[in-house]
Amino acid sequence: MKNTITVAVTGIHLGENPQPGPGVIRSLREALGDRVRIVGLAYDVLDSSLYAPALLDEAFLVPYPSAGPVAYLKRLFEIQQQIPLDAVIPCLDLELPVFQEIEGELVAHGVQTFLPRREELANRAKDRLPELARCVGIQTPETHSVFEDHALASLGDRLGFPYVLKGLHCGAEVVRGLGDAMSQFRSLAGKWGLPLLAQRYVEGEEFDVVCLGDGHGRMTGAVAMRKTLLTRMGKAWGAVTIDDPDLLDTARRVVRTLRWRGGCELELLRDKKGGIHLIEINPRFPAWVYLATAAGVNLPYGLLRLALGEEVCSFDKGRAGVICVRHAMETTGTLEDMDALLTQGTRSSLTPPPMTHA
Amino acid sequence: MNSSKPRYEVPTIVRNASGLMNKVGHRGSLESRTQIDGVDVDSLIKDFGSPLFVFSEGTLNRSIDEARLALEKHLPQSQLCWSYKTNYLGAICAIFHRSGSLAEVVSGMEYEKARRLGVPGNQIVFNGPAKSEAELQRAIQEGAIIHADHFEELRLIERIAQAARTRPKVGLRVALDAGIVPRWDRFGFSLESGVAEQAARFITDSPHIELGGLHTHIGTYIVDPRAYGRAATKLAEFAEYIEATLGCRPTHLDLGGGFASTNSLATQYQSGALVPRQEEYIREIGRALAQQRGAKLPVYLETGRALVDDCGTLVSTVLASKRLPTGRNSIVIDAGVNLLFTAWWYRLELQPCCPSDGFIEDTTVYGPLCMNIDCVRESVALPPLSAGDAVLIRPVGAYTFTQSMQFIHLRPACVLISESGDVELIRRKETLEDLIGPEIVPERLAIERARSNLSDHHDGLRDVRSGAVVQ
Amino acid sequence: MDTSHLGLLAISDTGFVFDPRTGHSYTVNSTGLTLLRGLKQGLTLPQIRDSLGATHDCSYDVSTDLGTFIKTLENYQLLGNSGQG
Ligand SMILES: Cc1ncc(COP(=O)(O)O)c(C=O)c1O
Repeated sequence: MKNTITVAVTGIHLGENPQPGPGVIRSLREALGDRVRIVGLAYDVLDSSLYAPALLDEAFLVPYPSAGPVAYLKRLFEIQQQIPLDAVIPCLDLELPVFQEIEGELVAHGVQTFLPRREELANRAKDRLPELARCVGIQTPETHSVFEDHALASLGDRLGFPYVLKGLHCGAEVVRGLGDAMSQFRSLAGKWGLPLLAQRYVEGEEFDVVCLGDGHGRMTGAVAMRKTLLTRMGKAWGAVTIDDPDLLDTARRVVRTLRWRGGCELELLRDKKGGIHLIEINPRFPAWVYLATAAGVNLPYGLLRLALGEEVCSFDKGRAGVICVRHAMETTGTLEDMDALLTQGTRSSLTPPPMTHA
Repeated sequence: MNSSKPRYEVPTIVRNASGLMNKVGHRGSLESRTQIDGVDVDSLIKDFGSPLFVFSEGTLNRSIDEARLALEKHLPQSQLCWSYKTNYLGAICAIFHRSGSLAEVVSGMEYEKARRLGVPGNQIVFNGPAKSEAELQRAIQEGAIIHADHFEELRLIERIAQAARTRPKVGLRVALDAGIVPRWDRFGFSLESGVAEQAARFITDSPHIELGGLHTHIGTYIVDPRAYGRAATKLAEFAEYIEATLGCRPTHLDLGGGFASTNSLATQYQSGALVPRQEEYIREIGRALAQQRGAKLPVYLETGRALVDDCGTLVSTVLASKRLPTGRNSIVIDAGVNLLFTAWWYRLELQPCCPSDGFIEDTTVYGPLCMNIDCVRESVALPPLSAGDAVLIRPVGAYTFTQSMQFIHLRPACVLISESGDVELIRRKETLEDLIGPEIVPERLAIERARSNLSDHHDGLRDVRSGAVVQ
Repeated sequence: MDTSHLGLLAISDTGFVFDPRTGHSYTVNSTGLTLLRGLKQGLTLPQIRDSLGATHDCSYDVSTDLGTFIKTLENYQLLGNSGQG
């Protein structure tokens, strides 16, 4: 590996819905110390990492993924002109289609990435989980696509109440009766569009596993955890690492079947009889990825090495019993920071233009 | 423009709104562009006026080539049929026919249009739920490839055939569940409910008609190519089933249109640049059909928007810029929803033709209609634009000209830029004659009479004002 | 015109404006910046108009644009107390 590696990282806002970028950055810093230079790619002047101490070396605003691959690539090249990048690690779901499209161009310009391919990304979609679970040989709650609200009653007969209604990409609600289902249908469909998915409710304990696949079927490392504190949206606010060989074995089989390339998070459920059910696969590292690093399995660093074409040996399993609690606190900035980001789209280590104050 | 002085920008101050502070956030469309296929936009406007539909023959040829290459690779026994309603400007249709496409029409008007362009009846695919008796008579006589939509049509065709003592082939439009929404099951005969089989039996039982092809069109702007694999499988299995049970082999499978174009749907987050390429859809169809055991039938495709959308640009001119009471910036341009019906469901791209290094703002773009509905984009990042600046709106090759209307303004000219860079007029600007030509004003409402009524009325008013009370 | 509040604003060369009384921040373009600066220095609108005209390529009298800008400043309460009417 070169002496100093410059890595751009997206998803750097730790708000109500925390993004994975900061966890990825801390993991890289832990492994590389001074040998890594972090360029934060932000979507808003108020993305929290912009003002956090010791996270970013440089920062740039980038176009929203919806602006399309051409605009995104152009901006990355502008940044590349100022600060030569060795790699970029996108951390948000919505960015993946854009990065898949521009990956070839990036690599041609010396910027490495390590992303799931289109096919894998499609194969982990919520509506394809039953197919995937069948291939892997695990269970997944019976799932049906729902296009119209008058299908909800027969779904109730079929799945029994309660069942879970989910948006194709985000959003999930447990519905306890037909009236409840009707009203949640309207609100979820309004927010996330159709179809929704109706999933059998399986009683049991939920676990999350963060993994890294090498793209050839090997899982280079993984750590499982249980959530100990929840946000209102059901995300982890606190967690503890666990040692459950069955969960890791499940993850290994999923990664092998998908030939997953890059980081991902599996949501798994153990029913009362001990059976494991696959609930969801998120195609990127979770916001809590630093917990895995703290447990001795530095997956973001592994991903960076894979991106740079370096050898990556399989990680040992992580230590169980490492706890984490998200610690939200105010970080502060100056008007000069805001000015530079707002008007120049960057906050670099160069001194910003002076303010005139009358 | 003179001098090295900077261009004047209207002085502007906007309050920064939290959650929206990203100067480069929307910058996709900000590239300024002064030419289309090497032709200056300014000269196009000077020669043909604004607004102006501009079609690029080069872009169109490349997208047809892309389809042909993919078909050669994955579906060697196949045929493109140009979906007239997507864009039935004569020159555009002619480009398709020159490259070997059949015509796919859904009305007597479109049928006649294809015939006048020189397409023989037996190279016209006649679809749609509304074919009249006279239109069917002609189509049958000329050997058109007919896909029937409902039983009334089948009975009508049977009667026509009986009277004409011919035995035409009649295909069936099949509605099937390819796992996508909305399901276009209002068209044709439903496969899953068994009605399609009944329709096939109706044909094979009849002494007057024969079974033609099986057709389906599962919807439009489908972003999941696998839906085509499912549709192809179902249609092919149905064909096999018919052959096995009714002893009659359909002549072809027609998988309709519906591949997504690079336009961005208003309801989708991602840019349209990320939709699957034509080859990805065609590959799915090829894969699905390769797995079928039965006879390999020729495949027809009626791809519309994916082929033609990209080649169309609407050149428009800024009439005014206006700051709304909310503080938001807006511009008024000379093309509105009268020309851009597609603006209802697409986030059409707007590219300025002037330098775009000014103060970028989220801007609302209004058209020229004196109606509140006339909004081309609710919000798009634009540099400062002033009256007279040209903007390019794209892609507008599909469904845009065909759905444009003469509401409040007449329709503008259409030009084609050839591969060699020549600009050819392919539809002249409309005149008032085009609009009022078909109108008839009843004699009793003739203007002479109206004028005398009007002056009576005015005289009365004058009398009232002057105090004279007229009974 | 009461422009007493203008003096409180932090205005950067880049077009970033911060109002310390309300916490709102603003972005202003280059001609707007010239105008704000001119007002702060006590120039009259005709003076500002002429200097903008002299330094920019413009085909019309920009007085109405300046008027609109002043109205916007008033709406944002950036000028002074009497500017609110
Ligand atoms: C029967 C038929 N074929 C083809 C098309 C063309 O569809 P698209 O432009 O989505 O490819 C349509 C459009 O609705 C259609 O109805």
